[in-house]
Amino acid sequence: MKRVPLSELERIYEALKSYGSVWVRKKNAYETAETPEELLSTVSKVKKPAKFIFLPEEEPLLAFVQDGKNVTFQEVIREAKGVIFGIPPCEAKAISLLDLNFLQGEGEDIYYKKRRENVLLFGLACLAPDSRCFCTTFGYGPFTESFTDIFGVVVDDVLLFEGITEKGKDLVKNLDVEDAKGEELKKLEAMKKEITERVKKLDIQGIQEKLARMMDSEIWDKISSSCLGCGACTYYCPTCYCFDIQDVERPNWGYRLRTWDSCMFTLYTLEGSGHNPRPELKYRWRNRLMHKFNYYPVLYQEFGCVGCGRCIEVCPVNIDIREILMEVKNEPIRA
Amino acid sequence: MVKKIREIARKLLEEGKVDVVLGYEKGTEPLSERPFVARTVEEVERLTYSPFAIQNLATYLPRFNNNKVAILARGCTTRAINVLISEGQIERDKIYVIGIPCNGVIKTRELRESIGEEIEDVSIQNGEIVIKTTTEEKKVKFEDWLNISCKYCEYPNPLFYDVLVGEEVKPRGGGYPDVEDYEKLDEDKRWEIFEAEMSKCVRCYACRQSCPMCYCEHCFVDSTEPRWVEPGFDKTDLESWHLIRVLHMAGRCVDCGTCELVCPEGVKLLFLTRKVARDLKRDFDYVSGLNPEKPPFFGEFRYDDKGDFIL
Repeated sequence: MKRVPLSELERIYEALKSYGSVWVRKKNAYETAETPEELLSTVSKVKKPAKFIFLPEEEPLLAFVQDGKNVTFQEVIREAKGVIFGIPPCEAKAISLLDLNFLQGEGEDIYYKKRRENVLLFGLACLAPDSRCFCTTFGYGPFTESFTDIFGVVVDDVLLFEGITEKGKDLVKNLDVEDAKGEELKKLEAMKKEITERVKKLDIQGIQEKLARMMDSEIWDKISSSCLGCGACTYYCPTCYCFDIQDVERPNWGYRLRTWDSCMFTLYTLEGSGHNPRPELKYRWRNRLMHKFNYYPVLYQEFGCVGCGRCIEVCPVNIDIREILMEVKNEPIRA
Repeated sequence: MVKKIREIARKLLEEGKVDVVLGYEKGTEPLSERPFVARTVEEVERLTYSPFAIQNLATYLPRFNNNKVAILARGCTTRAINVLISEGQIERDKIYVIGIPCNGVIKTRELRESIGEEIEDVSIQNGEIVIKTTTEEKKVKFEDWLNISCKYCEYPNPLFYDVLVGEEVKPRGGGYPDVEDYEKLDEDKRWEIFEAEMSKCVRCYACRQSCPMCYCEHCFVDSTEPRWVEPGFDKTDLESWHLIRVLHMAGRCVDCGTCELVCPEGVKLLFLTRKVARDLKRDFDYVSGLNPEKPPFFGEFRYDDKGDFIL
């Protein structure tokens, strides 16, 4: 592990800057930093997760212009290049889950890929998990480094860090910094234990199998009864990625636009015929929960939730995914 | 008050007078009192009530059209029920109104976010909200964190009820000073404020979904044939969406403030909805939701209408 005093962060800032944009944690969103001081963000949970960088709220995919009988098309790819500094393990894990969907096989998405492959994740251990956090439920914790390229921990007034992936190691190799001291590493271990234990872990063992048998359960009525059907939970969720593609038409020109979509919206599965296979909120709720806790594990052997608690916070009526998971767990299954 | 609410709810369910009781329960977030549908006598014990209960429960009524429903209702809730009846969305005799005189609700999300620390406990004492965080105890004035509609509310008491819980309260009244302050600004400044607010919108539609008057099965913003508003975040579209929504609310909005209170981005919406409400009152002496027998504002035609606003 390497070390750099927080008062000398400009030593790594320049190196990060040479890589491209440097995004840092601001209260509402990740924003690009203009000075090394901005690396020292005290925000522990950014309201809009880093997925906004890879999957922006809107993104044009192509533009078209009509000139008389001729129509010309122009592909549009918005690229991104740089380092997200200070991304916590939960968000880094969330991005690894997005990668499963967007970077492999038939689902490979060039728009996502162009940004993802050029952005490094400089993770920082989460020192202040809040009352909504339940990350340890999913087999990792506030000090898990494996989803990042470089991972660091702020111990007192020093940043300790190391390269995790090849790209990360390359960047660290070229920095003019010294090795971490023994007592700092010892302190890190103690912090890791203490802070990880602070997170309230849920016991969701068997939830994937349980859900598979609950398609017809009455629980969906109960769960959805106070839901308003807005898209806040899905928009702020770091792992939700559903999108819609529509053409925006202006006189003689236009563009094909990808925007977020939400499985909680009526329109989400409304078919051209007028038929909607998920006509009521309860079916939409079932899909959202199934996607995260059954379909994702079936497809990728990973839950589609990282336990960050954003949905709990932004929900206008405080629907709490933790309570729902416990309800599902405790619901008797009809024979 | 909570004891009385539970007593009434229990009796209604026990005697089979209603199928469900629409109320509130304590949430898992600090300062949260969330909507709760009690269906059994056991669930009645979860019912509570406080000024943190921001959601107007009338929003849920149309989905319970096949049930007999008891609903906890403040002044604005009963006004919303009136509009829904006048527009043929619900039937009065299927609804049992548990009336609650209201002292106003708190801007819970804004207050919670302003604290910036973990909140461990919250209570209301002598006109103050006492917030215990991990490091200190903070006291803020109840009045300072009141929803703006509540601050100038003329109808805090339920307009009708089957049973009333507690004593009626004195209306605060006071008109629309917030709207007047906004109108005093010059055009550029007003536009600047409007644009700044609208630009925060993420189009999650929490405002629409929480609104008791937004019950359309097919919202104009979702329509693709014809397309009224384009998808995406072009400011023309964002601003059009909010302006058209507000105009659809004219004569229907009951000024409960739920849309603004639930917005995850804290977009200010009431300066628009309240301006429309103020204009209707000033120019047409019309207040929405006072009489379920009267046709909706835009559903009424009068021969003696001078129409002088057009000329």
